[in-house]
Amino acid sequence: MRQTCKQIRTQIDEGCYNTAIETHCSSCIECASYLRQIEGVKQLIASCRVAAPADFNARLRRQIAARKAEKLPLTWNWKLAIASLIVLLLSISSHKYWLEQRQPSTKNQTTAPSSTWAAETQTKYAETKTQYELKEITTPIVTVTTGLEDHLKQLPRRSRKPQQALDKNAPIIIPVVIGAQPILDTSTLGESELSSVTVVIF
Amino acid sequence: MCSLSYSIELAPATAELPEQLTDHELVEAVGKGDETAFEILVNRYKGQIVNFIYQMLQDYDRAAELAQETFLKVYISARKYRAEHSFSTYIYRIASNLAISELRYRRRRRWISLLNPFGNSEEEKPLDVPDKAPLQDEELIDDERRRAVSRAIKSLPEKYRLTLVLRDVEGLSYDEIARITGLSEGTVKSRINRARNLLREKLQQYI
Repeated sequence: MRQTCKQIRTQIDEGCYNTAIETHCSSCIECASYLRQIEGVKQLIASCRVAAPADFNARLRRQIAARKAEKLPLTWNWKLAIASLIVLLLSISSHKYWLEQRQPSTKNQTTAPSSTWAAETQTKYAETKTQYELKEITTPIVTVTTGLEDHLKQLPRRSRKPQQALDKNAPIIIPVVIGAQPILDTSTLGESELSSVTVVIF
Repeated sequence: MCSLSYSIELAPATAELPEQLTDHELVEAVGKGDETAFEILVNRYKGQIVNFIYQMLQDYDRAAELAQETFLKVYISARKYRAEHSFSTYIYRIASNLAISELRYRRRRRWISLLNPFGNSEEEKPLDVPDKAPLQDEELIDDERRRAVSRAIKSLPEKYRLTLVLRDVEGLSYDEIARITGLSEGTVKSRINRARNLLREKLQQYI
C-alpha cells in the first residue's frame, strides 16, 4: 500500500525512519527535500553541543560543602533559640515566685505598726481583724444571721439592699458596694454580736 | 604475600562496582550519604544537563550554574526520591524548571530594563569559548553557523524550544518529554514539528 506524502512527513517528523520512507523519498523529490532539511536541522542543533566545564565537580563539591555549612548554624540557632526560651520561662516563673513570696512580708511591713507602739496595737490589731478583712472584700456579699437588725439601719442606704425580707431567723444577704466606708463597722458591735456575723466571700 | 594477592583477586567479584549500579541504586546510595555514588551520578549526567540548559538559555556560564543547582537539588532531596519514572526524567524535570524560571526572570528583567534604558544589560552574553589557536576559514564558517543556530534557537518561543531541545539535542523519547513537561504526547509532537519548521525557515542557508 502506497503511503501519501502527508503520512510520510508525519513519520519523518516523528523520526521513525523505515524502508517505506526510503522508497517514497526515492520517487518523491519534495518529501526527499523535506527529509534532508529536517535531518539538516537536527544535525545543526546537535552540532551546537557544549560540554560541562572542567571544574564542574569541584565547584559542585564546594557548593555542597557551603550548603552543609549553612545548614549547621541554622540547627544551632534553633537549639540556641529553644534554650534561651527555656531560660526566659524559668526566669519569669522564678521572678513571679519571688514576688509571691515577697508580697505578704511587704504587706505586713506596711500595715504593721511601728516598733514604738507595736505591742500596744498588737491586740487591737487582732480585734479589728474582722474589720480589716471586711475592708479587703472584693466580692461584696455579707450574710448576717441574727441580732444585727438595729445595726443594719446605721449602714449606708445603698449598702443594705436586702435580698430577703427581714426575719429574725432567716439569714440576710446584703450586697456591699465597694468603696462604701465603713462597710460594716465591727468596732461598734458587741462581743456576742461579733460572733454572729458571718462573712461569706464568693 | 600469597594471601594478599588472593584478596585482591576476590574483591571485584564480591563487591559490585558503583559504576555498574543503575541510576535508582545510585540515588538510593546518595540518600544514605554515599558521596562516591553522587560523584558517579554527576559524571553520568553533567554533560547532558549543562548542554540542555545551555540550549535553553544560550548562556554558558549561567547554564553551568543552573546545572550545579540541579545536582544540588538532587543531592538534597535524594532521601525523598521515589523511583516512579526513570532518573533522567526526574533530573531533566528539575533542570527544565530551573531553565524556565531563569527565562521568565530574564523576561521580567527585560521589561524593567525597557523602563530603565540606561541600566546595564548583562544577560545578552553569547557563548565565548576561549581559543588561542589561529582561526581557519572552516572554523570561521563553523563559528558563524554555530552563532546562527544559537540565534535561531533563542528566537523560538519557550514552549517550542523546550520540547525541541529535549528531542533533537538530548534525544529523549516523546513519552519521556511528555512526562518532563507534563504535556500530552500529541502536544509534544506538534510542538516539536512546529519548532523544527520554524528553525528550517531560519536556517535555510546552512542546511
